[in-house]
Amino acid sequence: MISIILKRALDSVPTIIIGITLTFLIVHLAPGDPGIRFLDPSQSTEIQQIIQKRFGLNEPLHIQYWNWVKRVLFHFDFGNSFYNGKPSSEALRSALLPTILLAGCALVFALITGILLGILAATRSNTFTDRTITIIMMLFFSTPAFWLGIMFLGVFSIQLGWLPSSHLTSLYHDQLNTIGRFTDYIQHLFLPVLTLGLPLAATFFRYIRSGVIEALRSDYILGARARGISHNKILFRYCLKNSLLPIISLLGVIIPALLSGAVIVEVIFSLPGMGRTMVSAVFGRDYPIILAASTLAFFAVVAGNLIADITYSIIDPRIRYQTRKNS
Amino acid sequence: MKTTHLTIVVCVAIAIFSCDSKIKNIKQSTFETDTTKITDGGTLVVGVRSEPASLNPLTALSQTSRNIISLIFRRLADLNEDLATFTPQLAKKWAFSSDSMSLVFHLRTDVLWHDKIPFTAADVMYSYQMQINPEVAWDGISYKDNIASAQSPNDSTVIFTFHKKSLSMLMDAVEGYIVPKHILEHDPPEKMHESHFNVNPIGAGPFRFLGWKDQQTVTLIKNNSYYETGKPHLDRIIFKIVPDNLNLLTQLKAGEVDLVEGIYPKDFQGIVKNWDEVKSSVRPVSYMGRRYDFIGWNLIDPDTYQEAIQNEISEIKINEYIKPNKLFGSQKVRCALTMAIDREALTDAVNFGMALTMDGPVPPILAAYNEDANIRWHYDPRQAIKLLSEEGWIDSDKDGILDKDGVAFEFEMVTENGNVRWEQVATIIQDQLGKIGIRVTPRLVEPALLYGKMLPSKDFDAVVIGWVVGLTMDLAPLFHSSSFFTPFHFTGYNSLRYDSLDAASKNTINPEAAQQYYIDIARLLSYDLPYTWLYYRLECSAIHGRFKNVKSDKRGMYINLEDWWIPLNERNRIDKLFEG
Repeated sequence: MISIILKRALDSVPTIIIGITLTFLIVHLAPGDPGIRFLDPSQSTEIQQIIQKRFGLNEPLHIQYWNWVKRVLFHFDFGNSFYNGKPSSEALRSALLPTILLAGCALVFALITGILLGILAATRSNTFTDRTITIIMMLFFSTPAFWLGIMFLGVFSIQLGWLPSSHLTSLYHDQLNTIGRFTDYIQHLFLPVLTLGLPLAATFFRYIRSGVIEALRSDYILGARARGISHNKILFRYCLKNSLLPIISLLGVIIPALLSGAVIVEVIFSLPGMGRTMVSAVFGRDYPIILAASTLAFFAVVAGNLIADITYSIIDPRIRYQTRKNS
Repeated sequence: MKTTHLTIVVCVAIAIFSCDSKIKNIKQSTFETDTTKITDGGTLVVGVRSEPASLNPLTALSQTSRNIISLIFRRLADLNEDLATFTPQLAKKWAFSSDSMSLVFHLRTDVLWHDKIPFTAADVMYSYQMQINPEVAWDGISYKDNIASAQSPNDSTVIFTFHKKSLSMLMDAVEGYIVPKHILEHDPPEKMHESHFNVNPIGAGPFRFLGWKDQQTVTLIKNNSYYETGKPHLDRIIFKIVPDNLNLLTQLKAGEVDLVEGIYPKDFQGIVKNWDEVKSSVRPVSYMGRRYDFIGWNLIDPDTYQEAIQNEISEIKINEYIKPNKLFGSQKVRCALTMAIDREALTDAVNFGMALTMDGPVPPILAAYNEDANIRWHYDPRQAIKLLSEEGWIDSDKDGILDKDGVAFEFEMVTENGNVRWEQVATIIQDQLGKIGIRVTPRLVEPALLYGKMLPSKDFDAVVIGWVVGLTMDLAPLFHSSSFFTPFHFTGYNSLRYDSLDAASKNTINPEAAQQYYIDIARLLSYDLPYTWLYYRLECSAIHGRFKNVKSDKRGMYINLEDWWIPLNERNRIDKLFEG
């Protein structure tokens, strides 16, 4: 197993290097100068040159690239933001936690909802319940996150006033006691998690429903029934286990979808996070932040795929056997 | 939106002309004169769309940063509403030397920094040294060009000596917030943009910095040691970052934020309606803003400009090397284009009445403005067609598009992608010029490409953008030949007459003579039309009605925030939670 992990990890290195290099080239070769927004019409060309030098943009591109690689590899320094001078790592660290919280909660919510509704629909296949659940989930599957978010805001925050419309905490969060703070987090995260999680739940629902229906019709389930094994045991131990396999491989590719979804949700609900950091960095041509965030995103995607592969091989022994045979 | 700070040198002693009273849409609140009613306490929540980058006056650039900084820091003196006189702040008084070449500031001795260290002349000296240091790249450095030296004979006196007499000497000296030397002196100037002070500022203003939650809030609290006794009245100001415009307005209506600036005129009209019909406690506030929009014509041929750049020619040989633009090189053509655009209808259509049609280069908020100085090109499409035909532009092939020597009169009008107002302007102009046989293709361009490449390399036909003006004015970066090769001088305008008028206006110390030069400059530019000025925008803001003594004018919304207060019976849940 360790050798499989090592092999997959090593396979990922070129992907990350190529991805980061391409990102570096794209952001640097895009027309325009990030220093231009620091300039006042009345400022001298001397100041323009100082700003260029400050950002290291006065060097040829290959030198800039090499300097950046050296800093990252040997000092784990992604440089300081052009916008506010803060180290990129610090900016990302503070943005990462809310995004992990949002994406993690959305993923858990989506898994629980998708699996439970998938099983429910599959066991009541072609009934009114199945059709109703399927239509509702298809609606969420095909609804853009920004529209869903705005609708939730309009109904639950503006019309009903039940939930806050923005931010991770209330302005008076620090004045609350521990339970109050916890409730405050839940209230603020509820709508964003729903916005990000529902389309994802719909995706999982489709896989689980079809997987369970297929499994229920298979010979080994017929055999299990003939042996008198209970319905619940058949459903959760045999059918669900097999139906989960595509979900696991899906988890590997769900990370980029979660990150891009988080961008929209974070803007709509004014949540701090990686998405908003990335968007501001791209619009502000903040190269260090763009590169640091891209590197992190590449790692996250590669790690997600790696974890999915490993989990898959743990759950499905055929994969392990196949890998050993090939090697 | 690209908001470049346009600094303009103004004659401070010139009589003021203000358009404020002429605008029917100006909405202002009343000022409470009975101070016995005023009670301290309460929280103001300001909704802002973007996070400030830095709260250090030496490195801050964004408007959000500047607003917050104006509450934390103080200058030596503040410019009054008349834009001519000053109110003492850290300096209690000042006087010119007998030869009028030096300005002596006598500083207050009762001022403490927020960390309780006394403020002294050393702080003023240090601030000046940093402001003029190119490594710091302070955006107001040009204000200090005329200052030859600064000295502090003792802890409470600073003397600025100037290169030459000028009407803007006082403005030049006091511009820029004073920063604490004892904190910042450990940071090398070239590392100022990375200083810890940028996110943890210490000033001497009415509010002190309390905390900054990334992408969420910046909180200031009352400075109990503020030198103006009894102020400020509010306990706390929270700047809440809400990037989504719809969400921001929703929060304003729901009372989750108290103040929002830069409201889109259409939304503002809704707030006005609700306030007038007593359906909402959100009060609309509008005032003459600091922004105007215009069409910039490319007066020169981009190819010969590129050749001139490659051959490194100097400004004095511009006319020798660079050819005029085939379409916009002629004043008569620019005049015809201006007359073919119904600017009044356009102004109303895109601003919902919250803007003034603009005819010339001097913004109406400035003392240098003279209503009669500009040449007005009224909407007259027939006259426009006549002027164009005089220049040889006629529809010879009857295809509906004017042409000359086989070249059709068609061009691209670029504007910033994402700026809805400018996109609308470009579309309206496309329609109006289309009626006289000119084919305009609006093109939306990413800001980085527009400001970073197309405009600096003069590689465009026409552009619709806007400027943010300072309270003092200098048009030279936009139109003087010495700025010809700089990024913001993108029209390629080059006029010896303008250069001489500009120099004359800066060299006189006679306010009346200076005013005459400004009139001449306005007349010249409004005749030559390197820009077609479109409109001057009113700033649209809204604040919850429970805040009293709110005053705003062309200097902004925060000019008297230390005077704002909330009656006890109008305190909300947030006020009470913080007080509790």
